[in-house]
Amino acid sequence: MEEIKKIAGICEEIIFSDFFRSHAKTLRNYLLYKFGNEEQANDICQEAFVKLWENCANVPLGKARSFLYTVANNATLNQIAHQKVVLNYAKKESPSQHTNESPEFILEEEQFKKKIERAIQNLSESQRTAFLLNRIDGKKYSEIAAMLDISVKAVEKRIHGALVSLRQEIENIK
Amino acid sequence: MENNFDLAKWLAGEMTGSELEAFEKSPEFETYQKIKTYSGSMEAPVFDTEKSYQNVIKRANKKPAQKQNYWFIKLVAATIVISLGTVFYSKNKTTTQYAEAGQKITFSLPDHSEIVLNSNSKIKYKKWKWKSNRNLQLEGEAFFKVAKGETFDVNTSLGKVTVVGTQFNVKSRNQNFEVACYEGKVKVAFGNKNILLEKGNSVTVQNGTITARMPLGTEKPSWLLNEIQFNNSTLDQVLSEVQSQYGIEIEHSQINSRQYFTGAVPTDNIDTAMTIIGKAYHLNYIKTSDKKIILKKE
Repeated sequence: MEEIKKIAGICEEIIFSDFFRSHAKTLRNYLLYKFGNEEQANDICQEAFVKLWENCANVPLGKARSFLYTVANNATLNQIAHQKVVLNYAKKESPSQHTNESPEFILEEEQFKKKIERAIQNLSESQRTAFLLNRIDGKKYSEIAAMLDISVKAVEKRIHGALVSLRQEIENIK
Repeated sequence: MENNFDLAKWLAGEMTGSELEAFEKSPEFETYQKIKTYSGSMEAPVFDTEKSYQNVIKRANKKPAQKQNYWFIKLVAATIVISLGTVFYSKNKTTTQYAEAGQKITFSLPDHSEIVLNSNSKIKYKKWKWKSNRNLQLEGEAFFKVAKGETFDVNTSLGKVTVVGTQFNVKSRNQNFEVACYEGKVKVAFGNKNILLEKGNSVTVQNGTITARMPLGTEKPSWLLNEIQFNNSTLDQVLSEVQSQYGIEIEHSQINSRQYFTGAVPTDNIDTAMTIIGKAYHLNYIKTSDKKIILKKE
């Protein structure tokens, strides 16, 4: 199958659609983390895929992902400043969310959520994207590195930096 | 900056041993642990993949650039084909194996798969290009013993059989398409249907519909053992098979029977074969010459 894909290329609609399905969500989320506006993230994500389709003859499948991110990054340059990234929490029950917890605990938990959200807004763009791609999209450092066309070491540095900034921000607010 | 611990490694669950122990004892650990837990349960807004894909297709109503460039690619391709065509002509020749009536042929494909071709049957394939074009055309009936790990397509006018390291029999005569799988698995395609046939099973297709799916009684096709096996066959089908096996002509225009025949007939003894058929259908046969038999009512 890989062989067939390589030969047929991205101009085949089946392959393009397959590629879209496996990469669109992550690209959209990356753009969302990057500049905070869901509508714009959706829009630029679609625009990047339209460009990919239009240039399918010149982009081998192996280069398609980095093409997408390059187009998306260039588009972002012209966008307005970063807005607040709105994130939700999964409804799944975590060990700390049992109903027998004291009201004080629940209150503290809500406060912590607010703090971490605020701290995430204040991360640098590169730290935030790397951190959220890992935490929300479950991407491995090596996958993030390939996406952003940087080394794994650089991703690790961003993650480390993000954690340090988050803790400092959260504890300063206290 | 806090550089005492490799936090990226810790977040990925790769911190172990004494380093992890020391980190867990450090005063900042509690907050980091909370950050890890809470950020792990965050979610991005829902992404509607289908809707988004439809939007992309709508926005990309332009044809892909490659299509506009097709004429150029075609021109280049045509030039290459014309200049190299003569060179490849000899390599591109089709090899044909043909078993006449009353004859069976055994031969091997370039990948060492073995084929036994039944009487009055033909196989065409490209010897030189076998590696890139594992395709053969079959008219009639043949038994295939495919070399391990090899795969190819058997095309007939009634359907296609795709194989992977297996033993199977394909019969495509008149409107009758029969595939029997003796080992491994084969994929059978006819009309717009696809079925997967497993070891020890057979399928019969007539006029594009499946008329029988039956388990196999033998380990080899009966014709390889000098027998022809019939399952619910009409007299016409039985006689046409006998004619091609023995290379004879059987005159039966006066006989009109709708009775179906199930049973085996030898392929190496015409008298026994005709006696069996005669008994089943209450007919007498007269040999008028070596090559001609006439069937009459008892």
